[in-house]
Amino acid sequence: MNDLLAILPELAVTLTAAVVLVVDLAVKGPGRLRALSLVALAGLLVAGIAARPGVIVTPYTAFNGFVVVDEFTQFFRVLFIVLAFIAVLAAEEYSARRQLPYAELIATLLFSTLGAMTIALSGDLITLFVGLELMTIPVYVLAGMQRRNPFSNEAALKYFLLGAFSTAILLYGFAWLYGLTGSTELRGIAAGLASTGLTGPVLVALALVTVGLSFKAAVVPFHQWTPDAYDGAPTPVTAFMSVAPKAAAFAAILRLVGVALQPLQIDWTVAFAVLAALTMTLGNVVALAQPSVKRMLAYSSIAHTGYIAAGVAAAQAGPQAWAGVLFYAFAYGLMNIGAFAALMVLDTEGTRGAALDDLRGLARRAPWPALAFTVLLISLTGLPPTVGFWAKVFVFLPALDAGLGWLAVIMALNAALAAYYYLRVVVYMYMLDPEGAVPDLAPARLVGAAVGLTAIASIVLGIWTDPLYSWAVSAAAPILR
Amino acid sequence: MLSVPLGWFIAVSSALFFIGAAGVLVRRNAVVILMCVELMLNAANLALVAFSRRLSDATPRGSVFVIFTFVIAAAEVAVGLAIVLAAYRNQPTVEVDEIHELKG
Amino acid sequence: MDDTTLRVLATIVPLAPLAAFAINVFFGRWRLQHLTGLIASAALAISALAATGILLGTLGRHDAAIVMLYRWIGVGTFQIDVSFQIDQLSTLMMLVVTWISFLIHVYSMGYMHDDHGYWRFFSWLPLFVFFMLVLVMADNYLLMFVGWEGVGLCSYLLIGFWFEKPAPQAAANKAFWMNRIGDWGFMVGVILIFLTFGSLAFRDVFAKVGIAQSELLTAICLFLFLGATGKSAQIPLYTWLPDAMEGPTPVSALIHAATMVTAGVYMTARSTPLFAEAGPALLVVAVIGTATAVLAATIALVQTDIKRVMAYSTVSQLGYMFLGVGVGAPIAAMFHLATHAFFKALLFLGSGSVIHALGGQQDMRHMGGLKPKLPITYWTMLIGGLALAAIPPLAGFWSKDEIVNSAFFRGQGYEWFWAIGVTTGALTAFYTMRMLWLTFHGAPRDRHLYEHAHESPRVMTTPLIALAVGAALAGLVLGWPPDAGWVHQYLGPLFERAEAIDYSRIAVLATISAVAGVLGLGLAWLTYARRRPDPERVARTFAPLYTLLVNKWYLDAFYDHNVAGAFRWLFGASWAFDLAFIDGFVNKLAAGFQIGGRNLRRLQTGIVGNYALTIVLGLLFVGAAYAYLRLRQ
Repeated sequence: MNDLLAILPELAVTLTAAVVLVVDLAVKGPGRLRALSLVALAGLLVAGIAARPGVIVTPYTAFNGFVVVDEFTQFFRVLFIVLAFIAVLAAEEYSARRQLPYAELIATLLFSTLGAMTIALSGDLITLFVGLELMTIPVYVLAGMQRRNPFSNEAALKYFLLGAFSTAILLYGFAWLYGLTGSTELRGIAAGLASTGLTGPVLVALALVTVGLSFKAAVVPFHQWTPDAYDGAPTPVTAFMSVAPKAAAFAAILRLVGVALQPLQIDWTVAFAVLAALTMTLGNVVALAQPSVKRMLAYSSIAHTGYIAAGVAAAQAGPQAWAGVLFYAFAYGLMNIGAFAALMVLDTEGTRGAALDDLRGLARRAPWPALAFTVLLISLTGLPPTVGFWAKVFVFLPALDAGLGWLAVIMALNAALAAYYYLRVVVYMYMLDPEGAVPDLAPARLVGAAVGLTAIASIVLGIWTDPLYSWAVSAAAPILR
Repeated sequence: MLSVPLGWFIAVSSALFFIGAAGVLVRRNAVVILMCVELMLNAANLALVAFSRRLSDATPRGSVFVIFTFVIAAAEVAVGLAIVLAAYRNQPTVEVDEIHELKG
Repeated sequence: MDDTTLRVLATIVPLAPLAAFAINVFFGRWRLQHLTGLIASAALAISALAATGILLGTLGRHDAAIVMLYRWIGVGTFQIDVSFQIDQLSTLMMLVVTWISFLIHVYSMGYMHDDHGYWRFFSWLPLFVFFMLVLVMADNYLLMFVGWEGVGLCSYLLIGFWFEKPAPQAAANKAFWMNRIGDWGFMVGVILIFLTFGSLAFRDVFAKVGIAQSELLTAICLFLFLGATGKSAQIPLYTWLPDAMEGPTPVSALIHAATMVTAGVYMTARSTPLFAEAGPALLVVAVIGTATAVLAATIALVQTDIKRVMAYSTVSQLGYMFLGVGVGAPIAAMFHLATHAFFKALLFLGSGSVIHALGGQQDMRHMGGLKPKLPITYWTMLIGGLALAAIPPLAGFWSKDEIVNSAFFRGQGYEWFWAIGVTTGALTAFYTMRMLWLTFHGAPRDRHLYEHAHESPRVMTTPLIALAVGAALAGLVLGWPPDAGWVHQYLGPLFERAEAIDYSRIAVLATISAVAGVLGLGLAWLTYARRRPDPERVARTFAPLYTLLVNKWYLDAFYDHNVAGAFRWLFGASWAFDLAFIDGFVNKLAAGFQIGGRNLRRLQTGIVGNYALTIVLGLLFVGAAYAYLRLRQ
């Protein structure tokens, strides 16, 4: 029974998904979509309450060590619930417009959320792996949800093939870790590695695991699925898949590195710092050359992966490095889901979202979404007083502390580069007149609410930052013990 | 029960893994790539079972892991085939080389 | 004044404009419409009164009061508060900002009356004032930076207010990117400060200034100053300001004359404890300030657009303020900042009144003889012009004189700054007189416009009169007697003073600069009223010089073509590094990256097999890296 109490929020999410599918059968008529949304939102609210944010938990384990509940778990639980909430908000109108199977869409989305939450509470490689797959497999489905659209098909197919490939690599790495240390429990692995040291096979296992997880987080050079999958997937799905799986991948990385691989930290960090630098630079440079805003945001999300990875690499700076990672993941989640959602204000053809030119003069046609989008873009750029600014500061300072001065410099230059393409969007919205035909505005009350909420959150968390950061610090503490 | 040394299992497992990986790299048919991925997953399964027997700790977690992997692999195949089918309906090809509208 | 009252007042000062912004932006378009102007003006009045209350309540007080609103970040050693530092410097700035803004808000109710973006205008304008107040009230560099970015953003929105027209768009873009460069410098400076001193609060940093190596301190100050050159339009980042005149005239008056552009001066003055220890940094400030003052004044000589004359004049006057800071006379600089806010706001609003009267005409070649048509505008602008020309006893004389005198008293070759400053003063008087004459005197050059000209409504002329009173008297009230006036008493505790006051020498120097001013006026009067020498003939005789000036020393063109071109070359030849911080260059750099991005895009072939191959190669790379790191251990 106590075991079940430990996973109460997860149970709530599961139940919600089930109820959504039942309601889909029970309710007919024009109010069906709204009813489904309400059920999902209410369920997520319940899950959020069940997670009891704000209540400090003393770490404990459940299910014979398969499940660990601590502040880290809490932090990510709340993040994933919030992200799912916003994703559901943003999905309804789009689904109605494109006649997507809405109940399936949100049920699948909730299952994916469940997977992400499972990662956050895993104390064992098995839980971790199940969580990863439970998160990823629904996203394959989500990406291909718009079945008659070839781009959606292509996105799903590519994501699936490469995702399955990387899963196999990861699993093989896990198998070796188990074989070499004799345990699948993260603490057991740590104990085992402390006695074996860095032998050749350990290095191989380590490399396999690094690649598998880097793929999920879209670290260069394992990022190539990202732009295509984000670009082709239906936009509400893109909004969700660009944030939750990425945050979850970093949760997995931190759990694994912080607990299991802690004896080997040094080797991780240098290599990871190089990958982080590559990731942010490539993401930004290619984003610069994108005519499509959706694809640009996809590449920019790769750049953000780089910043987060820099925080991971700064592990030597102590707990505040990973507090920075958590804070960044949270901030990034809010900003990016909002930014993708903002694209749904326009009724563009297919799934590919708006081109830069489609946004010309948007500020006059849709002043509120344009303003909220601007706030999100400023936050993504990292200008004060938004949450994006603090996110950058909180990974930047640890990088310096950890002696990664070169990485900090690259981060600073990259931030300047990113300003160019983010603010260019603002220029298009506010400064340029529409040329030729621009897409019609889509009905977007709920989308507007989602975008507005994230924009307000970006500012509020930017000027009232201490609570979230303090929470991130306390959440990062248990993994570094 | 025959006592096969651990090394042999590992050798077979590694071979499976590399064959699978090579298959993913060289084959162009989406279904065949999927099969190759399954080979890689089974390489991991084999390794897990072999390690589990060798370690034979109180709870054989390696074997437990394999059971979970089976379920996941099955789900993956189901989803994968559905995706391939959906793509085939719009564009009658399973050659992944010919599906490259999204790029750049 | 007890702490609670101070806390309440200090909160009201920035919150009143913020509230006005929130109300107007949410309800302005549909519900309030023309009420937005009243709401914004009322909020500014409240803010200005609160600021005055703070002044009166803290008059006897010598230490800075810290009003902490809440803790922004407080984990471990990393602590930053959202709190205000109420001392003489910030109080003075608060007063200048709130009162001038209030007058300009009132004026704008008339000026913008028929604009369809009325509610939008009165949303952005108070928001701007809010950020400006955050900037001047902040007790740490980070909060200051928030205000710094915020005013930039609002300025961008307001320059491009008429975004239907292409020129405002281009101007807004230019302002934005030049300011980005400056902001980048400021940001780097702030980061260095944090790394060096472990804190960003002014009081902590200034208390620990001794622990920094002098080279590091110099670097910090130069980065901060780079930020200041961006915001305050100094060489090399000044070209955005004249272009920014594309915005509505009240915006030019508020943002590009009285408040935002003074942020750089304020920040430098605020950081005096750093600059004072930073070796050559202050000299750099003085040189840049002087050079900008001369350069901009010469360009102003030949401008034909009335607002552009004012714009270059502003750049030039800001140069004076930096000269003041640079020669170690921050009080004089702040004094000039305050008086300049009055007379430059007045001149901008006055020229706005002229433009308003002429239906949008800004070219002085189409004006002339407007004096009888626009009497109030004329007389107020005359006062403002004489103040700008530093004719005693008007405001500009006392403050500007003090700056150049400080340079003279400094000795050790600083007399050159004095000489250049006085000469530039003559140029200032010349272009001011030229502007006034071409606008208001002589025969009307455009009959049609002249016939239709009419004096502006009361709501616009009243602020003009109020500002004219300030422009006339502010110098005497605040600055008499020289070097010992109220402003010196008030700011005195903040800044150490070097030498005793020597009135006999001041009298001599003051006479010299007064004569220089009168000389400039007289020369302009001869040239344009008596046509001796005939201005066209002068232009022909000194054709090369004239062309040089008309083309703004070719610096804009130089920036656009040569520097950017050279950079393009450099980019092709070798890996580029952040060298030149120049207009156009940013775009070219971005273009370079864009080419890189386009090439990298080709790697994204869209073919799954290639992606899988990349993953395998990446795997090999990671494995090799781990093996290498292991072997090295």
